[in-house]
Amino acid sequence: MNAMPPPQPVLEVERLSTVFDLRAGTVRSVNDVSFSLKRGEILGIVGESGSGKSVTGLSVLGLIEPPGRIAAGSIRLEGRELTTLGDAEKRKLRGNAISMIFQDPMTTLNPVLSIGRQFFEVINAHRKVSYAAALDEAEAALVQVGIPAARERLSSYPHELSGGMRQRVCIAMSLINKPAVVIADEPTTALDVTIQAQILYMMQNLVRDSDVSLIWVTHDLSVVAGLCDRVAVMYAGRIVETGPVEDVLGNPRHPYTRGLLDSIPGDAEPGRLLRQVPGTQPSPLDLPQGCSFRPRCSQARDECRNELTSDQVGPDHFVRCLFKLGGD
Amino acid sequence: MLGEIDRTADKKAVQTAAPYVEIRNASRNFVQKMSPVEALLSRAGMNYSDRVVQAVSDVSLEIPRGTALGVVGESGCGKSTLGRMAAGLLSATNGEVVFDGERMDAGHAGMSARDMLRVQMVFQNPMASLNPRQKVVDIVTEAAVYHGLIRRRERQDFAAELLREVGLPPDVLNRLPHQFSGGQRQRIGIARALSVSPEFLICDEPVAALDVLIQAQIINLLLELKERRKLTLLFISHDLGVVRHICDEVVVMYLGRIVERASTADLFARPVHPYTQALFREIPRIRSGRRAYEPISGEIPSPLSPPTGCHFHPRCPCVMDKCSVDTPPLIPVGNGRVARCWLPSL
Repeated sequence: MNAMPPPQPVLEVERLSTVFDLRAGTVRSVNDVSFSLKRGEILGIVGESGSGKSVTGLSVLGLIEPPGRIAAGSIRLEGRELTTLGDAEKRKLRGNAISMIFQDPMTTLNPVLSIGRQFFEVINAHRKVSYAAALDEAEAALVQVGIPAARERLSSYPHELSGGMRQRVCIAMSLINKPAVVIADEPTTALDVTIQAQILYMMQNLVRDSDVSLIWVTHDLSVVAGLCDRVAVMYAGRIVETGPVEDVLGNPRHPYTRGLLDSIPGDAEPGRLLRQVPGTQPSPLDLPQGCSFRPRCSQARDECRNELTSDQVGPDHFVRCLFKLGGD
Repeated sequence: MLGEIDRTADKKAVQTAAPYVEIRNASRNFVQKMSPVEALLSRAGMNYSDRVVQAVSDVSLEIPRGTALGVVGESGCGKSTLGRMAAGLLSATNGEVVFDGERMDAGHAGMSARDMLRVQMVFQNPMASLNPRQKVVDIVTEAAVYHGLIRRRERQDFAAELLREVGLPPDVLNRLPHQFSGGQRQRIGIARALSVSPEFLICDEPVAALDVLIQAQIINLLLELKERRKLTLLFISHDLGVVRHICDEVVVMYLGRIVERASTADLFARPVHPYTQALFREIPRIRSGRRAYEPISGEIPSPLSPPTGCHFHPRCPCVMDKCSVDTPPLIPVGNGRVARCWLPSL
């Protein structure tokens, strides 16, 4: 459109709340979450199971089904509001302007269709192309993600590929319609480390070359360290700390982020007890008042029962905590 | 605190003690039978036969009393099969497992059921390894009652004590496994293993399914138990950080073979086998930040048709002509460590 890169972010999520109305009560899976994504940026959303990181990704894609619903907030993709779109419009968007890579490629791919056929479906849903032209495009996409003998692979079925190859196919498929934003939900968790390293390396190159923006949802802070530009740490449905990866991981200001880092045995002295965070995550049906991390936090005081705001502590670095850990 | 343990004194004791657990030249094959059609064709002289996967091939290792040996490798490297052989759950096709001077491979007649209690296992998935219809009190006392270690009426107290030891409150005795979180279930799995007072504990990826904060809690629990109960551990994991934290010695496996064995400190200071080096480099770490190098290429070959010579040669950055022809032996590379590689620079 214009030569100047647009100043506004590709994706803006503002005060998003996604809830699930269950018989036992309302579960606030995503609670007042805001973040934005610039063009060509990789944002890591990190948290434990139940922290709301996957539901955040699904909310952006409009994949929240009843009993779940987006209760409040806005999601804007290139300036366009997504939360008010109808089903047909959402379907036009998904796989096109915004796409997703799931954790388990075996359940993402259709086991009874050839890889080529599935590529054709993804392309044909948004653009009218001939089958032959779709296969050419698919072949180029498979080459891009490092699949050897790409032409032959198009006639293969998912079960004939290894786990790493299947995930490469899913990645190629998610990029085939040149989306603005790709959301990846734990795509390397099921893979071996050498294969994970290959995929992380490849994703970095793809993002650099194609201008796509990427949200990488994971529980693994070290993957975030190796891949992302910025990180948002989620706990019990809220973003507790967000900022550039070097700042958040190098100088964490929220006790929960500190606890996550301390729990990774990599840098600790072997044989000694790790600094552990006691307890477990609170039930999403019964969140503590104020700061959700309060019952497990060593810094907690009475004031933590009050509602918290997110405070800026550095360039683009925000922390939701009253008693932030010391800076530099 | 456990941190106060004098590790040098530990090491001396280790050196003087005879190996406590010994696995000698153990191999395990799994046979995939021919289909009936293939069997007919093979009888007609065509080239069909049963497919044999050698999951573990000629593995020898020793674990001194009171130490922890880590086994690391990617899926299909045979680490879980090795663990099951060590636990006596799988018989070895060749070789033997010797525990405290006695043979105890599965199927070997020399070992009584009572002796087998000294070896116990903690599994990866605490949901699949706990009977969903059994109450916690039954899960952790069933074996002890069956083997006559305690009387039935002592069950409640015995179970409460075990739960306290693994960090669970005693009022959960009558609950079912699904009422617990993953970390708590793994604690129950550990309590069950401890219920017969084992000396040798095999942990197969005990923290792989857990969130990182819970992982740290379970790692600490295992460290405390190892110290308090003087356990000998065989610790199977794909997570090098966890292995480094818990284990005294590490074995790296690739496609059924040991490729490198060294003390944890030596291995992490200087991995010598190209595969170990690749593994170490490719684990993303917090400190190292974003990577700028090219990762090792290719995938793990199918164990049904492993590469000739060195199993790692198709992916190896330092491959030589010899590597695709001859299988390298385990070569001593100093300080009691070995590596399976032809590189002269080891």
